[in-house]
Amino acid sequence: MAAPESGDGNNGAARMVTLISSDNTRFEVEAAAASLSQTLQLTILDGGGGGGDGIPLPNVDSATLSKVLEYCIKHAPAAANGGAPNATAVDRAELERFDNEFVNIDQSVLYSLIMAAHNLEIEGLQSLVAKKVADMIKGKSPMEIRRTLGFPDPTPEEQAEMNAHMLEYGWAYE
Amino acid sequence: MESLQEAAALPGSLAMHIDKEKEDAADAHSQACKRIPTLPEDIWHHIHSLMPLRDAARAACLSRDFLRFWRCRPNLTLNLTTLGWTNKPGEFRCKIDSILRNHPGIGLKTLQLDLLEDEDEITFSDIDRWLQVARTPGIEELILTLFANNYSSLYERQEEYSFPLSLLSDEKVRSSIRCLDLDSCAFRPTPQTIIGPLRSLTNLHLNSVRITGDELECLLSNSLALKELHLFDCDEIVTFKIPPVLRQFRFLHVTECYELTVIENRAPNLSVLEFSGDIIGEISQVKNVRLMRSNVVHYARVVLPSVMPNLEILRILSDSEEVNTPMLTTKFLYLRHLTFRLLSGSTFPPSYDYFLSLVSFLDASPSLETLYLEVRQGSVKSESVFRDSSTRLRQMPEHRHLCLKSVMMEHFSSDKGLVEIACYILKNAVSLECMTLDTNYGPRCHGQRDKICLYMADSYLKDAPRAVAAIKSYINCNVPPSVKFTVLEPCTRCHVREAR
Repeated sequence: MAAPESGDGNNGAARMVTLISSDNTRFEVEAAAASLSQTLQLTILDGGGGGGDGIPLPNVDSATLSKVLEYCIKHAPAAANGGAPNATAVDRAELERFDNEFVNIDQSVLYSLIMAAHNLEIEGLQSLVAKKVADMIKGKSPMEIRRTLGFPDPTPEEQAEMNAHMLEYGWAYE
Repeated sequence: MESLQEAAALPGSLAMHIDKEKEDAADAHSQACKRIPTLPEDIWHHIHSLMPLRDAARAACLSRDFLRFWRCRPNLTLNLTTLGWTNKPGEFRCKIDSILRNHPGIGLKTLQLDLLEDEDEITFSDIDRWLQVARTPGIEELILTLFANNYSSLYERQEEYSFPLSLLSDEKVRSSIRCLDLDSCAFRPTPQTIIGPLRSLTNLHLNSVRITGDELECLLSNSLALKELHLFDCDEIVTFKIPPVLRQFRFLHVTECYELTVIENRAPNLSVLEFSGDIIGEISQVKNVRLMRSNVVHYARVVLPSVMPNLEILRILSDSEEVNTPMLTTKFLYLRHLTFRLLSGSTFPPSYDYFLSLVSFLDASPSLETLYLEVRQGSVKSESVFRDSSTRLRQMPEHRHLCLKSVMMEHFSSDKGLVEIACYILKNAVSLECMTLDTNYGPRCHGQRDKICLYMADSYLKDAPRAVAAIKSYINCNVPPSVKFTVLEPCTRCHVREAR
């Protein structure tokens, strides 16, 4: 279906754009949802991604991209309202419920999502996934944090610095 | 093994902590190395900044990068909640001191010091030194709360802390600070100390701050980007002027400044106002007002239509009304929301008629969409609709309200005026969608176990069945089928218990 070339013309069907993942899977999605990405926004405003062209995303695989788009589709209406001053408490609660469920995922998927959100500059998603990682370590000891985030053990020099830090901030470990 | 030697030098509990972790480490190690996260440093920095303070302090043990993130943490909110409760005198002070001593200020955006505790240990020179961390490019928010919750000590202190103006004369701070929020200190800006514009300052909050009107004006005239001013309990201010150069100034919120009687506003775009005294000058653009004073109903009806012709939201709260509101031809053409709260500790004088006052407002507001009404008198001795058997409700001339959709009346009693108001609205508001009559006031538990309804005095509870009876006898018959009509009776859990 012929979509208006530019702008967010309200006549009929919403404009669609095509995104192509690193493993060559094509995703057709509403321009408004894809535009949550600052990186894509300009290309889309210029009329890119429509017709048979598609926008290649060499840094995002299909599994991650599908997850990213799930987020964008859900959040696009609220974003279109400009921070949604009109959103009801019910709408906000529903988005919150969605967000909580959305980040309830395997850690490797979470890291891919962080990278994708970062590369595509999707502000809301960047904060959501970063907050998830921050929450994962809540109340944990340094070793538990290390294990949770998958960090290697410190070198002896690093360990000495850490110990000095622990002495200074003993209260944070109580 | 080296690290075990290090651990031996640590105090007992910490050393044990590390030993135990070393034991855990072996099996975790191989697993961990398989999935070393390769996130870029700026993402880890972002994640670290989102961790609560104590978690962030512990995570500094992860690596040198994390230690660096900790030392340039952008947001430092230091209070009992973030630092952990303590009952050892001086410990709170020590924690703050160690954090700020090790923070070079680089990257700091928000510094919040809530120094409500340890007031005997914390000295003014401590506070001076701590605030110096904020003397850094990029600082955006500075929130300082002093010893406000312990009034006895506050009065015992002969002197009070004076906010260091040198901080605001620093070019770095002046160009980046967006929000300044001070509580319980002295703040004395003068033309000599504020030596240039605060280019980014948009929000200014002064709570229980010693500042005069002249000093406030001095600050305002240097705050060209200011959007919001909040004043609470600043009793040295008698009057002040908001200069015309504040073109973005929209929001003025003044509460409990009992000495402040007149504000002269020259800022062209003031739009939201809460102030109980007189405001003169440029106020025709105001769209949203909250007023609280005696006889405010009369004042609002008589004065506001001409001085604030663009009002969209009006909230009035009155604790005493003696002057009846006349029927006038002036209009609130754009008023969409009206909150009308008459809360008298005693009863209104017999001559006062709040029914006619409200009708005067309704008839003057052709665009009104929502109405919230609460009339509460010290005792329910006012004129109950059941007081004598020949009670007749007054009939007002028909006046069709085309826009009014939603009406909420809290603390609905059997008072005749309230019954008349409900009937008047039901007859005249032809687009009405919902009306709720609540015999309570304040928050309700809505059946949730962890919440309770606001306490209600016996006299109110005793009237509640009469209120329900009045609704059945006089109001139900006027409810059109298109209106969602809800009556909220006393809570069967909270209020039945209270009534025993």
